[in-house]
Amino acid sequence: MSRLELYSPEGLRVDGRRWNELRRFECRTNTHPHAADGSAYVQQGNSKILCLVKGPMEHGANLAAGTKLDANGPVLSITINYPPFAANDRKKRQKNDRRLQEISIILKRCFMKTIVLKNYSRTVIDISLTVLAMDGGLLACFCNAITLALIDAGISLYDYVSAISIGLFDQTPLLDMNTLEESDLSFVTIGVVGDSDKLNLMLCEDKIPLDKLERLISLGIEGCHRVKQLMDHQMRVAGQELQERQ
Amino acid sequence: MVLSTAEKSYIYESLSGENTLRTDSRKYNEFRPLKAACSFVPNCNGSSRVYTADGIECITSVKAKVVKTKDLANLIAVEVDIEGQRDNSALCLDLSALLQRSLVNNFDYEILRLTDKYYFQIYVDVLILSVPGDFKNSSYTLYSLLSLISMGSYLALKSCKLPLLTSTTNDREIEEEPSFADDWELATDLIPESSEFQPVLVFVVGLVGSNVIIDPSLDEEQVLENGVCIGYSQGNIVPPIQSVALSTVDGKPFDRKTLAKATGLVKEIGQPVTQALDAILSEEVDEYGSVF
Repeated sequence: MSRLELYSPEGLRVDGRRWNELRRFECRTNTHPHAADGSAYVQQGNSKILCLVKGPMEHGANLAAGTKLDANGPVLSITINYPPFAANDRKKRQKNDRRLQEISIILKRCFMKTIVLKNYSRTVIDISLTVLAMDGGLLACFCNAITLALIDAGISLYDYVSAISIGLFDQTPLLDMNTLEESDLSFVTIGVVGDSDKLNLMLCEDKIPLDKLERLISLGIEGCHRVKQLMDHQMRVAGQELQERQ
Repeated sequence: MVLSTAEKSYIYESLSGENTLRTDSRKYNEFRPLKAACSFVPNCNGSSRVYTADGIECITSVKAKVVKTKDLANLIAVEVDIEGQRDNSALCLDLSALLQRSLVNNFDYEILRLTDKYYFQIYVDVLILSVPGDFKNSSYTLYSLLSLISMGSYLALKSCKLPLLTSTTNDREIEEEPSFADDWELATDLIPESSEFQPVLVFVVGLVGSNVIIDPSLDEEQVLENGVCIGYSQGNIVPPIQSVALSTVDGKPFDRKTLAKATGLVKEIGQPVTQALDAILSEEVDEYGSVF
């Protein structure tokens, strides 16, 4: 697809959205009550992610041998499972794929700033992410799924972290990119803490002119706040259901 | 759960006794409850999710690709991935090979045929989301997942949809690449309703004394003398009929009579299981996340 078709002169993107519109966002929590302590399912457009959280516990199953427990906070272990069928074209990925390892480190850093560390000294929190279908926004989906699964596991957080990707088409920032747009445009992923303007996560793997970056981030923050609202709504619905069951 | 010697002996005695008393009070031919859903992954031609009450979940996807080949045995590729296990672990490789062989041996290649030269290549990818937490220090193995995986692949293959072929099916004289309709509404089923063919289902049967039990639970696996997996397709017993190690403890040999009992059991339950799976297939799926 040529670069010009990604944003029509009328202001429509390939999937019919405007520049500042999110894709359909759906989330569920406690999807796997028997398999893990906390679980969440996040769907952004055609991207579908599952997240299972085990912990806090004394020692994790997936922890590398020799990892020492930390007296000041939990040891987060994040494993990413990217099965070959998740992308549009079937492609086998190595378990130690470098890009995925980098993403897991970024997520770890982000959530070490979000979890109330002092409550979980000398524990392990095991987070496993599974990509069921990927259509852009990998890191953003991961971040949103982990936030929800941690809440479901009852782990204390300072606030929600909601993430979104924003791309740049010529002069126009585009919110919540899909695969087609991601492959042709440069984009940045940001994660925002709650309703504040504080960024806990930011990743940019392409070149973006410095004078455009501010506009991208301010659009991203707006998008993140909307995502946070949607997640919060779902959590409240889930809480209500829990209350009614008792 | 790690069982003590006394517990093992108690379970063994009750299983091998006349009435086959099982720990969860099931009958010898009764499955544990399962839940399943189909067609929820938009990127795949067919997909399914099968999960049990104890948290084991199997997600299966089927992807199709057009290839030019004469080698029909390579048209089906199976890959099993288990959470926490390496890709090249014996368990993953054995399960992939077993399922692949059982599918390849009992497949109707006519349904994969596009033209005289072109075929659909089918990739079946299986993902086991979580395994029991005490797996590493208990004496059961996870080969019993085979029955869950085979049900998953049955559902995924049956729910598999392929785009409608618009070009001619005869390219013997004129070289022509197959082309397909753009409209996904016109998609056809991989296995048409008119076809007699059904993908193979593999059942795991536990042998204890002269008794046979279907779908042994993890507790039961630790006391079983042996296990066999038996294929079932369209009312018949089909290969593989193979013994599988359900526990790391040495088993005992079994006689022909017990094996005959096991195949009889599979023949008896094959039909109801197929019907139950077909009922799941006919359920409408809302693609917006109601699966989870």
